[in-house]
Amino acid sequence: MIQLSGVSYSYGEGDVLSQIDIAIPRGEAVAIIGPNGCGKSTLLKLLNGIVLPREGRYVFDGEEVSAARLNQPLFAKRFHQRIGFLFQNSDAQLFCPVVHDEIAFGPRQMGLSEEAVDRRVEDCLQLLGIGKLRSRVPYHLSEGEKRKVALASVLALNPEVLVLDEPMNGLDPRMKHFLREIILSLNESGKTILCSTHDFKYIDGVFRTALVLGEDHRVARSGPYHEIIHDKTFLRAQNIL
Amino acid sequence: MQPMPEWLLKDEQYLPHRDREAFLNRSILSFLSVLSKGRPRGGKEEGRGRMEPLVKVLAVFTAILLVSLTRSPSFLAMAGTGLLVVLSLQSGERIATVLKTSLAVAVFTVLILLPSAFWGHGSSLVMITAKVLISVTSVKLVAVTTEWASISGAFKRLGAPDLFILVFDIALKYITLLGEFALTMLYALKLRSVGRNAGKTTSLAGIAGTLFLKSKEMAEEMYAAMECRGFTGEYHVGRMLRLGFREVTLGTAIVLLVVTFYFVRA
Repeated sequence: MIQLSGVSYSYGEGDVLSQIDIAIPRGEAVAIIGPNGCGKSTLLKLLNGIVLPREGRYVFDGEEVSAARLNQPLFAKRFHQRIGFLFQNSDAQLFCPVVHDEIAFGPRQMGLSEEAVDRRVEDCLQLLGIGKLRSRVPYHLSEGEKRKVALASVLALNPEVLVLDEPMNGLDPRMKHFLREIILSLNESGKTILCSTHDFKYIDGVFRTALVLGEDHRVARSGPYHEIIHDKTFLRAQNIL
Repeated sequence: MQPMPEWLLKDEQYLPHRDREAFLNRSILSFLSVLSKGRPRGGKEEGRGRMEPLVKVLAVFTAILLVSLTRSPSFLAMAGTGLLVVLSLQSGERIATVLKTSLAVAVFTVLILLPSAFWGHGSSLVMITAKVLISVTSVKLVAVTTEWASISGAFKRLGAPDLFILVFDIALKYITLLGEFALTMLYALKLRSVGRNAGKTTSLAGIAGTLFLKSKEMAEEMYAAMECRGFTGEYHVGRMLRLGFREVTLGTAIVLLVVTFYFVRA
C-alpha cells in the first residue's frame, strides 16, 4: 500500500529524514516511535503529500507520489481522500463555524447528496460520542472534544489509510482509552493505521508493527511491535524510554 | 462503542471533480515564503564571519547616513567598493540572497526615476540608484549575517527604548509562530479539499477567524507568563561586548569613510 525507498528530506540545514525505506501493506497498524526531533511528524507529513522527498521515491498503492503527480488536481484530490491525516494540533485542523459543518466539509465536496452527507455526519457524531456537540463552535471545545471532532472530520471522507500524529497528546486517561478503542476498531474494519506516539501505556494491543526512528533521522529498527516494545535496552539506547 | 457504519467498512468509489484552487495554493506558497524569511536560518552567524552585532549595526547606520548625504560620485564609488569587498567574503548563497533583494530594489528605483533622465537629470538617476543599491545591500547584508536576537541586543546598546525592543522581539517571534499555525491550517484545508468547494471564501474566513482567536489567546498567555516572571518593562542584554580583529577592521574602515566624506565634501 505504502512504499518509501531511500527517502530523505531536509528543511534546509541537515536531513530531517535520511534514507528511509518502509513497506506497509494494506490493513496494517504501524506505530511510529522515536525521540523528540527524530522526524516522526515530518515522515507523516511526507506520507500525506504535504512535503515531498528531496531524494528517493514514495509509492502509494502502485502510483508514485511526486510533485508532478500532486500538481494534477484530480490525482491530488483522490490521493487526499484515500489518506486521512489527524494533525497533532487539533486547533489547526478545525476551520468551520460549527461542528456539523466541520464534519460535513469533506462529504459535501465529494458531491454526496445532502441526505447522504447528513447520514455520514450523524454516523461520525454517534461513533465518536459527540452528538451533543453538533451545533457548537469547534474552537471553544475542550482538547479531547476537538480531537474527536477532528477525527470525525477525517473519517467522514472514508479514507483507506489513517495517519495520526501523536493523537494521545494532551488528553485525559478516559479519552486516551476511548481513542485506543476507536483506532483498534478502525483497523479491524480494514483501515490501514499509521500513528506516531509516545503513549505506550495506552496503545498496547493496537499495533502489529513498530517503526523506530533514531536520533540520526534513519530507521533504527522495524518489526513486530511487541518485540520492539519489550526490548528495553534498545529503547533506552534510542532515548525512547 | 458504537458499531462502525456500513459506508466506513467499504472502500470509497469516488472520482473527484476539478475545482479552482489557485488561491489556496498561492496562499500556501506565500506563507512558506514569509516563514522561510522569518526563520532564524537567514541570520545565522557562522563561525568564520562572526562579528559583534553592535559594530555591524553602527557601521551600517553610519554608512547609510554618509551615502545619503554625499553628492560626490567618487565617495559613492569608494563606499560601493568597500561594500563589494565585504560582500565577496560571504558564501555564494548569501551573496545571491543579498543581491536578489538589492538589485530588485535598484531596478524598481531606476523605473521610478526613468522619466527624470529624459528631462536631463541623468546624473541624478545614477546617483540615487547607487545610493539605494548601497543602502539596501548594507542592510540586507546585516540581516542575513546576524540573528534577530543579536540585532535587538544591538538596538538596546544603542539606547533604543525598552518598549521598542520588546515589541520588536515579540513581533518577530509571533510572526513566525502564527505564520506556522496559519500554514498548518492551510495544509489541513488542502488535505480535506477533495472535491468541489462551493464556499472557499467561508473556509478561508474560518481560518482567519481561528487565527485571530489564536493570536488573542497567545497574547493573553504571554502577558500572564510575563507577569508571573515579574517582568517590569526592562530588557536586559546578557552577552558581553566582544571586540576583536574583525570589529576593529570594520571600525577603522568606517572611520576612514567618515574622513573621506569630510575631505571629499570640502
